[in-house]
Amino acid sequence: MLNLTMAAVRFTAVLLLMGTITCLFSTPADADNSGNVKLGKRIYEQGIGHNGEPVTAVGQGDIEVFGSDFACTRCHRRSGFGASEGGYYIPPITATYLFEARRVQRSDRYRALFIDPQSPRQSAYVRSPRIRPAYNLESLHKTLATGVDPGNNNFQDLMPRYQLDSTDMNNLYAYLQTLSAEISPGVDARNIHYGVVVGPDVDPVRADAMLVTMNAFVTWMNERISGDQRMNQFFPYDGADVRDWLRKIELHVWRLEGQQSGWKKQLQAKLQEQPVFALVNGMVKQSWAPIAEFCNDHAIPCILPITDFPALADSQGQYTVYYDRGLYLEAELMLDFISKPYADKQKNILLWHGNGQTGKPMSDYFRELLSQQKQVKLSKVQILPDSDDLDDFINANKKRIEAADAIVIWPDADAESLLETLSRHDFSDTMLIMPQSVAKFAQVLLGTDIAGQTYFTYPRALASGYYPETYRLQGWMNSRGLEVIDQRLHFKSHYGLMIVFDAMRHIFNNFHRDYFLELVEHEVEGSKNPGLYPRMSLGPDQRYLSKGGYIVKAADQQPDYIAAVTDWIIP
Amino acid sequence: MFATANEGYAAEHSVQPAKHKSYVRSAHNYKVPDVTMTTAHGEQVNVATLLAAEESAIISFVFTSCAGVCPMISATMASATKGLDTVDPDYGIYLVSLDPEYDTPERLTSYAERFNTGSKVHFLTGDVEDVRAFLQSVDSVYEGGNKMNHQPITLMRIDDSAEWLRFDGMISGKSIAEEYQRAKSINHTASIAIR
Repeated sequence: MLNLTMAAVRFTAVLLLMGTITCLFSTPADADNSGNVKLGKRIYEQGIGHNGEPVTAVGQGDIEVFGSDFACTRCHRRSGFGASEGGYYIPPITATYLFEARRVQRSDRYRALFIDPQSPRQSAYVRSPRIRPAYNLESLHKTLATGVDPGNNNFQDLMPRYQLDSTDMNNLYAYLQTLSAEISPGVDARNIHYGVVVGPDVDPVRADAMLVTMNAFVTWMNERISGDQRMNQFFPYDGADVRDWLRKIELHVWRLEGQQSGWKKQLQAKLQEQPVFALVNGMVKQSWAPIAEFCNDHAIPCILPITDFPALADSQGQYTVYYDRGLYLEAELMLDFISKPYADKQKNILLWHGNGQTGKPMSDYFRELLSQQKQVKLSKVQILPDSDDLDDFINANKKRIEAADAIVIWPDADAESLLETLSRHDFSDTMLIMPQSVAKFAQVLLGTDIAGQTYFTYPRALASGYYPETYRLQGWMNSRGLEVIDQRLHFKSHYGLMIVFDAMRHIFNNFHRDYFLELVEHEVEGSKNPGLYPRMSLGPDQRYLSKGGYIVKAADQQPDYIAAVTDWIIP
Repeated sequence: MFATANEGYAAEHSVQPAKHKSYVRSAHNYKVPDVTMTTAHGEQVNVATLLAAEESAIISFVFTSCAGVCPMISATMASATKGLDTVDPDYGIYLVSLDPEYDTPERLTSYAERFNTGSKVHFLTGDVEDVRAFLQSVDSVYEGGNKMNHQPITLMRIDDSAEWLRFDGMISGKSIAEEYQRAKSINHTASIAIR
């Protein structure tokens, strides 16, 4: 009997203890709130309430605002980690920040405190402790309406005051409790893992050049990180309190095989075997689209793949950041250049293309562009023959050539031989225009009759530009004994990892993929440009670092034997 | 399945707008650069000529992908027109893109529609160097070469001979109209005194 009584007492004590623990780890509203996370996410990202109507708010004292441009995600971003923008510090609102009492920890505001240029207002704001208790449902609802938090701190004037009914508030609250609540896969106690995709039929020499450069970067960076990790908690050392969050970089090369249709399945298997935090660089010969889809499906950032065929899609919700729009951009530059002079006159063009992996898709894309306008009319599409038969092909088309204003040429390979053959013929006063891949053989045209009428797209920096970072990178490669196959390829391989590293410097222990992507968007414009493009910039949800290009022609006594005939064009 | 309001928790909270003044006024003799820019309709315009043709001009700087202050600046300008029209409808508002390579005329048109900015608010984009020259001329170059570091500023010029009023910080639509009224009345008083 005594034993039974004691057992009951022990059982009761355990229940009481469990109850106490539950209370300690619950917010006051948890027991009641049964909001719909999905609808809360819609409020957060689109500003649409449960009834399908835009949520309204008052901004700047007197303006009623609503809809996606004033949804939470616009300023606090998809990750919820906020940003510093326009002289304002936009604080994080992830689950960890909102539902815990405000802590005073410099890593939370490190970037705003020590890195971002600040207005006096921002400087004062980020240095004020603004202590407050954890939010609960009611206090958050009240704060969103009044702009005064539970610690009696006033919100900044930039923050609209939101009119939410209790259903919308419940839903939003439910979503905020999940927002960046858990760190992303691909990070362990010591390492952060990145994938590098290599396609099945890329030039192995170029793939090796990319990987050798990346490995050299990782070795270099990991040595620094190892040193920093050893200084963890050594108090005289700057930033000792945050060194523990550094992770050594581990690259995983994911080699794809076979047809594109099977790539996503292969990528899923590789991800299951080794979760990665993000993909960086990478190289395939065909379209990047299957890899981009895989990244979107799994919300994995993919930073700066080396591809001529990016996935062209609306930037919202896309996880791949590209250098530029590849050959699609070049096609648009061509069309812009052909149509601009004497814009009131309709131009007739011939389209000659190879029938392989570059010529065929670009011919299709160019025809699609033509179908969307009326200034340039396509007279004839013809497949380029082998180089042995090219002379006969040109001779057989003399009349068509003379009647055309321009010939757009998309070859597959052997560009040097193509230029040599073209230069032996008379093209009357018809313009020839070709992609940048042919421009590297522009020297062939010097002194020929067609040099003055042959143009190339050039969506990159001119060699005549001055970019000090070029010399630092050349020194970096020389000091590591890297054999230079293609300087631009090595520079891209280095730059992709550099941007990743820059973003990770500011992430601390907030290993969230969405936040990482937002940091990449922020870092690019201030990064050191090694002369890849005249300008490199991103913005929120932008996905192409460079947006335009030049038109060039062959020129003697110029770097790379080319000279720009246009300003930088944004088609 | 929607939740209902929790017991003991006031279901609605009335919105209380911020009441404090959030900008600083100053006056400057700026000379707008002689550069050509592109409107949202794709027209090439000389900025100095364009602004000289306006009786009064208001300028601010935004970019369409901006995640912070620009949506509020754009909404503010759209809302300010009502009050400005009441004071004197002879003015133009110009929003200059800080990200001209991304902000093509097509993007600016779509952005203007999103914010319903109306016929008095005009957008300008163009060459990166020209935008930089514009920013330099009005002492508004952002730090670190990163557009994310731009500051919210509004410039107002009442007539061709007047100096530019500058408002640093977020200014409300109501305050823009009040500042316009104030500047107009001061200018009017001064012109009477000169006569």
